[in-house]
Amino acid sequence: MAKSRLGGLQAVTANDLRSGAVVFMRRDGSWTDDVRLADAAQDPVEVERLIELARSGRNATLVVDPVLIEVAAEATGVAPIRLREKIRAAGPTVTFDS
Amino acid sequence: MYRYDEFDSAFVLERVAEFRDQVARRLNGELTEDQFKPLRLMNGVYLQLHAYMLRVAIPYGVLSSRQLRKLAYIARRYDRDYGHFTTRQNIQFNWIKLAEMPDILAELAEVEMHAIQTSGNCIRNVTADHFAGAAADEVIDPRPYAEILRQWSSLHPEFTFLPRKFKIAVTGSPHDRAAIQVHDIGLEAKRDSAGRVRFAVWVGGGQGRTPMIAKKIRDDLPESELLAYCEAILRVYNLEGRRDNKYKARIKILVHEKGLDDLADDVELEFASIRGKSLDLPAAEIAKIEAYFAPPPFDELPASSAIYDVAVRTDPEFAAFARQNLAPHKINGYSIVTISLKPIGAPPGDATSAQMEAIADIAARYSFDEIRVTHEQNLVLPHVRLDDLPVVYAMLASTGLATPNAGLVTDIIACPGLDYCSLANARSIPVAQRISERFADSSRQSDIGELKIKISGCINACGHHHVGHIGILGVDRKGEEFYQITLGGSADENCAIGEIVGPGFSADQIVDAIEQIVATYLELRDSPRERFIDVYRRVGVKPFQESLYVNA
Amino acid sequence: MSTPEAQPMLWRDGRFVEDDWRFADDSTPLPDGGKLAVSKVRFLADRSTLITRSDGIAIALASGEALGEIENDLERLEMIALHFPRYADGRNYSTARILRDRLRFNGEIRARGDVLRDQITFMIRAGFSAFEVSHPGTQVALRDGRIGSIRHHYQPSSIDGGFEASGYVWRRLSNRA
Repeated sequence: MAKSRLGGLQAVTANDLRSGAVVFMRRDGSWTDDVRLADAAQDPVEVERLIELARSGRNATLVVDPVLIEVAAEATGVAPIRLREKIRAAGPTVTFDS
Repeated sequence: MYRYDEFDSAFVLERVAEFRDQVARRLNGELTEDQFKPLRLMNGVYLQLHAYMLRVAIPYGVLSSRQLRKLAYIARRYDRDYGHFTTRQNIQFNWIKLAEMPDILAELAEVEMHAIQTSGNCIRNVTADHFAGAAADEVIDPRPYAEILRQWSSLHPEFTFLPRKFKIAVTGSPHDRAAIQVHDIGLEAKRDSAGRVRFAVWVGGGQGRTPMIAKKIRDDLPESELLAYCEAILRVYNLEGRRDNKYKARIKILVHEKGLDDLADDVELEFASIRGKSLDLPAAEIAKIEAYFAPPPFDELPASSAIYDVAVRTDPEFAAFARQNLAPHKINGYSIVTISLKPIGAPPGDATSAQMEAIADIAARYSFDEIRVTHEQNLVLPHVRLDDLPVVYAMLASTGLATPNAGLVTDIIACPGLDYCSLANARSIPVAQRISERFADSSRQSDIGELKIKISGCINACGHHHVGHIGILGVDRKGEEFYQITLGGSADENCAIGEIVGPGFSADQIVDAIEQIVATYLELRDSPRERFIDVYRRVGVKPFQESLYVNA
Repeated sequence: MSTPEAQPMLWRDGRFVEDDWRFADDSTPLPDGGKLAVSKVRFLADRSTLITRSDGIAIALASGEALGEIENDLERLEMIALHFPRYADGRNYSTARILRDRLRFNGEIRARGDVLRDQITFMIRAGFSAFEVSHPGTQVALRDGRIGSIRHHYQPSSIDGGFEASGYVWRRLSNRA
């Protein structure tokens, strides 16, 4: 069910259950709010392992809706590719000041 | 306005306690996300891109100063110091923690507010004309009926798991400011020849993927049968509405597939067994609710005001505001003031805590403590004396709330779009901001005249693009934001769904395209009195297409 | 749905009871005695033998299944079971109300399928009187009396017992403490 359709380098993202904040998963299954610190994988077996870990029991009370997203490896760390994920990682592109 | 009695207060507190328990069960793992999601949605809690969003119900858009101050407090204490007023006359807070949600609902209960049924497949917050009780053209005040519908629809045991969401709007004016024909049920209160209240009942309107204008199913429903008839419609919809495809689950599809006559037959069958029983509304009960909406103690004033007239003559900025943001009041010497939440270049519908507090203070002093929220994402002071308008204007101006653009090209409706919403395909707010900046010049705007631009970031159409004079729909084309333009939509009594003008435009092109459409209108109009929508209805889409795609 | 399932238990009249009904499928021969529930299809096919049985008979309806063909046999039925394939499929709330309010059915109306604690209050007010519960948390909540924290209702319900008018004609207050 968690079969990846994406193909390239991928990382796991979710929202924190209590706060709703955007979080990304590291290889050890811990969560960070900094996308650059996420762990990504390309090998399908490793990708599968990441998403299975994200969906495993203890995460049910830590995060909501873990999913795989396409990322790129940049000098500063992992970076999202799609606009939606860029906005999720960085916040709204508009700020409120009147 | 309506005030909670002990029953209402007890109900809301029970509901807060219930939700507190549900949140606790989610956090401790007893409830899975699948089980919890519909429960949180029933309390207006969404999970958006960045955080949880709480949508608070503002029944038919009516607020007291005390309530608005509480919303400001919640924005400051629990959120990022601002809130977003929506096209359902509600307010959304974008950065709320789930664990704090029960406390916020308890805060809201203190000022007779809640978030019940602001989401989910149930009867949503009932909306009404935002000028209710004030508009000069009003025949019947729709608020008492909206309140009765609000009560009846609250946690209705039969209609909490409908095929899809269900929206009801009520107006009591021949000029429809509540967009009743794009609602699941639209109600127009009017008087028959004997002076009795009757409802024209429209059914099956809606926007979204398949926009449809509602059809009139009854023209003469007695007010005593309002609930019984709505219950009959809802029952038929609950049983027969499609549940196999969420894009075909609204009642508009049932009306379309079944046909109005067959649907009306089924409704009448249910109605026959419901009417004349416990849902019948005795006149005395309606009168009890109406008493809450008795007119405030208006002064007897002359129809004109010297103070106002002098200000218009001597202060061109006030004159521009007066020309654009005032509407005629039913009582001599009073006016309705629209507070634009569309300052040039700002996100449509947002207000800071400080602004909400400023408006609450002004309303307390100058508008009988009342504020309205419009489905066009503005606020309204419904009852301001003409004599007080210059000082009210000055107070609004000092907090950035006196933009004189109500109904003009920069008074744009926009959904939150891809900046906040997990359903969106493209951003809406930045497009609105850039259009607003392009047309910032006040005299240019007023030369263009009435022009309603409405922007949605996806096909769900929360930004009402189908009924914009100019509608903009954001789509995702191979990872790029693209914008499709529709022309000629209208949400009023001459309801129309806009027509797609042609291929979409990139984010870089969209503002130029809008400007080209406006230029075409200015060339085509017979006189400055002929509005954009009038020209469109006269000439159709073709001249706009030609200029748009030839020049592109 | 990944809801963990427990053995279904029947909640009726405020307690868990032994289920005295047997649900027959559409193809196997009908048992000779005992209370028996069948689908509408089976009922219509075997109506003549079923209505002469000395023991109780019941019909089990799918979500939203029409009542038209069985309206005239309601008096002979002791129970109607209404199925919820998912709790979010709310058609049978309306079916229950039609049974109680329009067709004056006085027998048991039983909810089966995806029956969860947060929906049981709605079901009671729509006229359901028995609940087959497989969800462990709901079983515990029912046993512990932690169901239905809301006593104030804005609509007349399909069961008059247990509720009184309160203020306006459309309001009801549960007289349960």
